[in-house]
Amino acid sequence: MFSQTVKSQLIKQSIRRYTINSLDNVGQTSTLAVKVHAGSRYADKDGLAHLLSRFNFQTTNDKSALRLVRESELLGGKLESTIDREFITLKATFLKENLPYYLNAIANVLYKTSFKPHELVESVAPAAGYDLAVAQQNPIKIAEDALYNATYRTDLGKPLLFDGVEEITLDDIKTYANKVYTQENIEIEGSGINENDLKRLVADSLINTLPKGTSLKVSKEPKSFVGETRIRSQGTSVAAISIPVVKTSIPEYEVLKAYLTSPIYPLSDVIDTVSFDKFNGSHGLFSLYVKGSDATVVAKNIKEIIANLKKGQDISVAKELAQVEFALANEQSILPETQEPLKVETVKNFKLGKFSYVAIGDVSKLPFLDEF
Amino acid sequence: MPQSFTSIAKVGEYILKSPALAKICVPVAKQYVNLAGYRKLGLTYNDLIAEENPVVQTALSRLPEDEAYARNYRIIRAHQSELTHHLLPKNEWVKAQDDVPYLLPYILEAEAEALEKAELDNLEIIKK
Repeated sequence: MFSQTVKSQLIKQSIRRYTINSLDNVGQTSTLAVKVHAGSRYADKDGLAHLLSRFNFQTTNDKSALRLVRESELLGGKLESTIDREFITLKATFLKENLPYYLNAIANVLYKTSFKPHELVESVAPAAGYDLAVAQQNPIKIAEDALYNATYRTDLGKPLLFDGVEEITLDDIKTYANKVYTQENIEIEGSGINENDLKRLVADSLINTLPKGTSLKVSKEPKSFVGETRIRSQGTSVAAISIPVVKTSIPEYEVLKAYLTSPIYPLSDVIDTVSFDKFNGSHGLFSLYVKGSDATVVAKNIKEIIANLKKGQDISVAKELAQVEFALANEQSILPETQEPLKVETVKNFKLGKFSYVAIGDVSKLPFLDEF
Repeated sequence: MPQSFTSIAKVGEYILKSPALAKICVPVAKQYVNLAGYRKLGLTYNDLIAEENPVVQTALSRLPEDEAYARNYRIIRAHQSELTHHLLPKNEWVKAQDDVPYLLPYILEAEAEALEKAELDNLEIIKK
């Protein structure tokens, strides 16, 4: 009885802290990434997470943004902060011996960014605007955002980048930073770093004194819908579909992705991109994009693919391929979601059921959802 | 560049810290302000700072909207008074407690940034 309580306390303690994972290698460079569960799905206001991610590596109480960049340049390292739907990732790539400097830099960002009002106007907002402009040049990115929005509406369906629709003040960003930059909400990953060294350094760094909070990590699949979005725009036309995936069918969609992207599938040439985004290993979104400058061709191709998938396809031929791809991806990632190989035994036929649909570009030539 | 605002602010702080110096300098400063007469035109001391240089321009661009508006209003009003060769009515003169250095913190910050940039640009790297 006693040991049971002690054990549960120990487990609790380990949960209540940040996690550290690291892989050592023989190379000269190291990568340190701090992943914060603070992506767009967790932000109360659209674009808040994006602005916060752009505020990283700005002036902190210790050091100005300019000094940080110049010093980092002299050390030959690189700092970046990226945003996706799940994470804000602070990443540093550097020569092995400079680990303490970069760990300290990232810790400073998490702990004491000063959030100066003029930085929002002078550097953060223009940088965010640039990100948005780049994303809007790419019809696949526009389609991806629209697919997420049509499928999930809120949560994962929130727009990824700040577009100025919702007004965001500096106080909003500060509040959000205080909410997400907590010990429980971050994961530290290193590659090319000895795990014990990293643990020791992190214990001595400011990360260890980050405030306590709660983990925002969502492991439950959010509610999904069937939706359709059509966006008129110049240039390339894109037709895309997406299917929300629950935990149990993740292997099936891994195999489907391998199948659709390999030459085994007769229509693989006309598919532009197949992507399968997984979130916290518990749910995901499978999406398929067809792209082209001629909307009539795009319409013909997407109709053909969907009719083909609706008929049902034997995807078991791609089982081994999927396993290899999965294992490769696991080997390359610092923190694999699972150590086990992909369980593909039960995967056999795939028949397309309900899906969300997005048309971008010359929408009068592209089909509607109910035409499939 | 003439004396930097940072050094002026430092000297001011030093004077205020030592009681003997403060006893001499503060009455002189008060008399200077009185003779300069800018308060009678509705201006504050920070309105007089020459703005035709990058540091002050940066500071001005960072000024909160309401303060920038008030500054412009004061300057326009002072110009109008000068044109008509009148002082403002006595109740509109700026009182000593309203003559706050609203722009100075921004100038000091901008100056520190410019100085840091110049330092970093002219860095000499010594390899150990």
